[in-house]
Amino acid sequence: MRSKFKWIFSLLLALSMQFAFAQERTITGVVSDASGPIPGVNVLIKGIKTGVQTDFDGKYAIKAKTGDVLVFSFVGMTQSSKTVGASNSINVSMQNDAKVLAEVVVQGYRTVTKKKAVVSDATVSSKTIENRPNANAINTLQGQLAGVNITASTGQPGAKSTVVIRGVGTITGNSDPLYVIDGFPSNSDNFRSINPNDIESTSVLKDAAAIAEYGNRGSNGVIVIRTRRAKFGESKTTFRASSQYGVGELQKPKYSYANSKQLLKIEQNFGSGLGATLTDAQIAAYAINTDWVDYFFNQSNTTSHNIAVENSSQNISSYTSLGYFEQQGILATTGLKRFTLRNNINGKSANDRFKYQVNTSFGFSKNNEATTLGEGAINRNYVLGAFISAPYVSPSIYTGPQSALDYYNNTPGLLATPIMLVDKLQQYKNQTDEVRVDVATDFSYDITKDLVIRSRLNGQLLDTRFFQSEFPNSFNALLFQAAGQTFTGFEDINSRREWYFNNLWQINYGKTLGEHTFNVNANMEYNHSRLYTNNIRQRGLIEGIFVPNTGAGYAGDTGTNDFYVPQVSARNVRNDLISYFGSFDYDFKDKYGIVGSVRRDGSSRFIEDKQWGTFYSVGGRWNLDEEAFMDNVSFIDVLKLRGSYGTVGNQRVVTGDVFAGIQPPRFADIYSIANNTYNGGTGYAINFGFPELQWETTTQWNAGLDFEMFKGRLRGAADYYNRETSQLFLENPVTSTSGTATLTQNADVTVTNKGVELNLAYDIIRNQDKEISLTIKANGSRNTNLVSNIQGAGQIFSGAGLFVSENGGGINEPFVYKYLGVNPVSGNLLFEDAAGNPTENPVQADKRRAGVNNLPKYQGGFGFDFSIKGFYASTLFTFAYDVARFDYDLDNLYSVGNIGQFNVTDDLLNAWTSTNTNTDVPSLNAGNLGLGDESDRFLKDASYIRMRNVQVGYNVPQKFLKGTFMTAVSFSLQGENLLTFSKWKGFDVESSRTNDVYQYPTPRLYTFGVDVKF
Amino acid sequence: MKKIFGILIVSLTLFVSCSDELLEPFTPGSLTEEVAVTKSSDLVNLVNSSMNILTNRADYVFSSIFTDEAAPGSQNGGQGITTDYVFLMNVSNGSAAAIWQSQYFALARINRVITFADKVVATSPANQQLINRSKAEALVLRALAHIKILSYFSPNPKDGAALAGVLADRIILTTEKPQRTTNADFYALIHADLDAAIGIFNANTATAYSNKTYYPSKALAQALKARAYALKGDYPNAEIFANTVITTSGITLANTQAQYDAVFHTHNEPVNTEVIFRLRRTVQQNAQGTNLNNGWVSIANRRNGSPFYEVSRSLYNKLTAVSGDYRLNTTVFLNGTSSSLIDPNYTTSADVRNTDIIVLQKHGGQSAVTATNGFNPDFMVSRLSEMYFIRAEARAAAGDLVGVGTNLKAILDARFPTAQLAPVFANPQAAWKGILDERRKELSFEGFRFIDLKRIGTLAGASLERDASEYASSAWSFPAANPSNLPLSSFKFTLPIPQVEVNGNADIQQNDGY
Repeated sequence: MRSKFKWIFSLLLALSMQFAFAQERTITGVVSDASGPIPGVNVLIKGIKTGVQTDFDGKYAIKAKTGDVLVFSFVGMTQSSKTVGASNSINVSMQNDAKVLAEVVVQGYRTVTKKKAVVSDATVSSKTIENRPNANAINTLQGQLAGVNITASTGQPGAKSTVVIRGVGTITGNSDPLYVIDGFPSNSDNFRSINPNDIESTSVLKDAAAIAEYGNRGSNGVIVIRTRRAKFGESKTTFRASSQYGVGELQKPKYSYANSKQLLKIEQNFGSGLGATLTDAQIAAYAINTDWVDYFFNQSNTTSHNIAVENSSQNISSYTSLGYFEQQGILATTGLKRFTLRNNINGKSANDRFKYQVNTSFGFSKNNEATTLGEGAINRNYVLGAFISAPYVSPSIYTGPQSALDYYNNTPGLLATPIMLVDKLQQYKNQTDEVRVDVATDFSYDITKDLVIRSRLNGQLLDTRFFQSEFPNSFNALLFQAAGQTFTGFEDINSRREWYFNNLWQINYGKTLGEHTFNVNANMEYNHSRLYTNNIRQRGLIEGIFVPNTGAGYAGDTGTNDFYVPQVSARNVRNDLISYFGSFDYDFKDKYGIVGSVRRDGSSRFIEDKQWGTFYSVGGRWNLDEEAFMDNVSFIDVLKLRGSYGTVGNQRVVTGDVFAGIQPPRFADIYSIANNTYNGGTGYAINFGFPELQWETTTQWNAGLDFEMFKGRLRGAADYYNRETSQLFLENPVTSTSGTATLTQNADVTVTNKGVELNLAYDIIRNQDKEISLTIKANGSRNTNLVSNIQGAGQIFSGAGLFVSENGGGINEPFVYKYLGVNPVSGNLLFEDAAGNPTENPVQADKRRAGVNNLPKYQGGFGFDFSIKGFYASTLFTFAYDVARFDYDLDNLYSVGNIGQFNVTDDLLNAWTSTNTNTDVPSLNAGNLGLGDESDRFLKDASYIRMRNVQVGYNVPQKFLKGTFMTAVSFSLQGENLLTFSKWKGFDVESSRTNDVYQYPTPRLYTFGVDVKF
Repeated sequence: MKKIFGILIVSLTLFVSCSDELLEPFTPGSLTEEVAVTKSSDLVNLVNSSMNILTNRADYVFSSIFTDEAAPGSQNGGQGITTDYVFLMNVSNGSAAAIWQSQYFALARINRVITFADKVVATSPANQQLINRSKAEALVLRALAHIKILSYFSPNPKDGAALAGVLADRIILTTEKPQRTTNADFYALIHADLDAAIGIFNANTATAYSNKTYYPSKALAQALKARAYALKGDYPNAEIFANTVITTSGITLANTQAQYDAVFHTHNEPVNTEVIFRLRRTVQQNAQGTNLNNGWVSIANRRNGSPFYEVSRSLYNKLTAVSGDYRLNTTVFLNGTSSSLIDPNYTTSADVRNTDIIVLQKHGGQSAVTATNGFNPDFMVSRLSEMYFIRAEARAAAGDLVGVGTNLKAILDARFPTAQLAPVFANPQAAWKGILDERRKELSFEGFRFIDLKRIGTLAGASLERDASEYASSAWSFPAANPSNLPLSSFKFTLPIPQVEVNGNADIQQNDGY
């Protein structure tokens, strides 16, 4: 909430200055925003440094003359200007947020004003995060931050999203950014137990000077999250309550599925499956036509309730919130329930010298997740069942596990797939309970006015308990029952505890000497991450007694066999980081500024002298608008040129979570004992290592321009960057004769990401009198991903040769034959050979890289905010362009092997035959169908424009609230993913995967919300 | 203020002094080489891992599907029917990669045994015997892996000058880019290793294993010498070693249905029966991804066990040609719950896929179960019957057609309840064909067929024998799977050096046609 103290003093001071200008008259008015009058707004006349502030009722009075421009500013709101005309009254309606340049900018561990920042900044405030129906706050940021590519790769509520900042700088290393919550670089990228409504702002740090202070983990960019806090001031308590209700539904694909009759006809043509045994008349009379997509995907509900209390006083303030969120997944059995509690306390000593802050949050969530997504496990993956089950199978066949087994035994092929999955719906259960406790503290003491010492102590505990049970005598249990086995089914209970701890010591000295301001600090930081896991699997559950997740009904081991021997495993992994760093900051006349930093980082992932790396950065700015020569350029309000150069390190050797790649270590050939290796004896598993393993270094330079023009109507920033990763972590393919196919190592390969980012906002309508405003905003980036310096053949393959990183190309581009179509003579697939001629039998030399990969070259978002009186509407579109992924769901629909047991596309009715030669569907028995998967036949353009979010709402005017306990009431209606324009035919174009098959699509959501303040 | 600085400096010092300790990598259980290999049991661990890696079904499955042993099963969900079954062979072929990698991954461990065996210091004379035995076992396994590489990747195993694979006679470093060497080099290493192993076994006094077929032995070394000489076409030497095994190993052919079943289905055949070496699997190792039987069925060797490959019609017809053949019942699940469906009118069946289901049960029989801690079959590597075949081949090579018949009869007599007539051949080609056909029945699904066709198919004037119902019927319409598409002259009988190798070793010599 806003600062409401000190306004009296300011007002007095301002009034005492007014008498200098005799011919001026007094202009009065009220400054308000959607929720009512705003106290404490700075009102000044442009060009004159003095001004007034609004009082408690939002009223102000200022001496001005006709033609003067009054500038109204308030933290967190758009600066607004009014020219004094004939009227003595000027009322102003201020807009939240959209403002770009008076904000604070996160620059490493500190925040500075936007004006003094040397770094590019992208921040999203609470306004755009709160009340969006996404379980994961990061998903909400999509399309709002230039150069930040966020993809929700699954519709699973609470699942983490994939975030790529300024391109992927590594071929096989980790490209996750660092998440910093309230100053705590926590490593954790799991947000399912965090309440998005507690977030005040989210900033993304991209360039070298910004991430320098997070240098040991920030090479992929840093996401800084600040949670809400109350301000100091007069004693006051405010409440806010909000509730939301929503429904979600599947985004349907553009595939052309065969219906029952078509499928039976295709089977008849092909001579396989039920259709092959039916006559045309029987097919025409076939009545069952099950929509398995509808069966496994349902409309889902979302409910969310939040209540927040802010308590302010002179020396202590607190923000407390309670939240409950419940979202069903659109896929059967999935969902998330979350309870959160946050208490952020700020305090200070009476003399203002000692300040402290303790942010505590507690989250508890229950998550039901889909299993085996993306896999062809026909008896496990519901999505597979939804996508390819034969429509002529009726779910009514299922009357219990035995019926599923009987049906499986008595139907050809794998036709029983959906029935197996119907059984799993009833006979399988899983859940992850997560307790998350975050404590972030900050203590500082001003030894003198200029010298401050600070300590930050942060801890985070993530405790999860996962269980999954396959019930006794379920279909799967019966299917895999061994002879002599009485008790079937199994249950896993996996406990996992992650503990993150961070301790920072800082001493900071800042001084202003005339027009020179400098600031220098020295820091030490220790960061500790620890993972414990304990997993058990009980095999053999006693039907009738067994209750999931309780231990009831566990069968014991017997002497006759080993069927009921439980399996146990445990793990203890640790990662430690130590850093020493310092930074220097200098400003001259608010016009020029430089910052520099240098740091030394140690990591327990490496050994001996390779543990330590040194990184540095420099940055500078030039506030052009402060220069005299700019005084004549009246349409420019703000213009700042900035640049930075620096290096940062990365110690996350492999992709995966923060504990991946630590055990076994990758810096030596490691022998570890493996049980039951041969004839009951132990063996040695060997993991081959790279003794020279060390920090991966990313060198980045960045040049940018911040501007504000036409009286602040046009605001924006443009950036050019060049990131170059060297000593690159690579799963380097090596000769298999060495005993391994790949070796994790630092490679002499360079990956460069360079590009431009643009962020613009323009107020088309800004009519405060009529309370109408319309702002359009857009951001976008173009990133070129380039691999160079690969020695030898200049290529690094991955994925069994399906992807290549090649000098001059991007990372992991598909390496494929070019598919030309169907040979009208034979019905076989035609490919282009190296000489450009069609061939049915291409060889390896005919393959080439596709020139495109799964990472878009262009991406961003755009939209508008419109408001009139109390009504408002806004949209956000996101887009990605120049990106391609394999659509294996489509591939499946053309798979001849699926005929007779799974559904296929009705296109197969048009397959090549000797009498149907003019077609683009190959013969069903083409001999080279298998080469299709090594070609670009199913490599599809995944560019898209998506209407990510649209909201309309109404803020109830103050006059209706008078006399009630409420100070603000608003209603909103919003939709997520309502429209998508794309050539992609699949369920969900939005994913960062290289291919899509049987994945959980993100839903379309409609939400109604109520927000009350009192 | 001074005090504050004092505290800061003190804390800084504390911080620095403990930093080295804090940054010590925490890697419990991860041993470096110097620590890991210091005693005889460490060598055993490496031998065990080598054998574990060699226990790979890729060549068993590939050799059956790419040829004419297996045919798509009623519950095929796409497995292999656009690749191996239709002879699609290129550098991306998964089977070629698995065969290559499993041999070389094992060789990397084997070579560590051989290298470290000379460095590990024995704690006692008896302990030295254990060290020696591990080394001998490793030498035999090294020969076995090299024979396999040569068989699959050499364009002509009989030509000493042709390329084989990379000679793994030492620890190869990850930084190397080794080239292929000739068959002659391979054969030289194979025989040197086997001779050295035989020498060690002859002098070794370590306590014998309770089941000697689980570990490399002198008999295996001799049998592999016979196999290697036969592969080279050096039949005089092949015959010598085949004879040695037959006459000195003490092993005899299984000669009842029960014994023959026991060899494959339950592995509890009488001592010294049939088996020279098998790669042992225990119930604890049961895993769908690695069980041998799961190479052809998802769940069990039953019609409702989700067979995605079954016994080909042509092989079935061969097994039923003479009634009473034990190999029919061992190989095909004919009697019992959810057993095979045999359609006598399969040639005219409208839906042969579902009317004629010939379920494979050679590996593990009905005992094999895809379940944790369930029985799963051993991988047969070397059996005595192969020695008789090698003798028969040697006779054929020498033009002694009667000798061929005598040796085949020795096998037939053991495979039927009654003594069989010795086959009679009109000419050498017929004799080779007789050997090839008999090998097909005897050694089916044991990873021989592909190499046999490559080795002696041309001598026998043979070709792939797939039944038209399995590639040219309405239910199974795969024109590309017509055996005419894979003549024995095809370059595909030499597998490509897989892309996974080329990825890390770009200049390795590729075979013709790829």
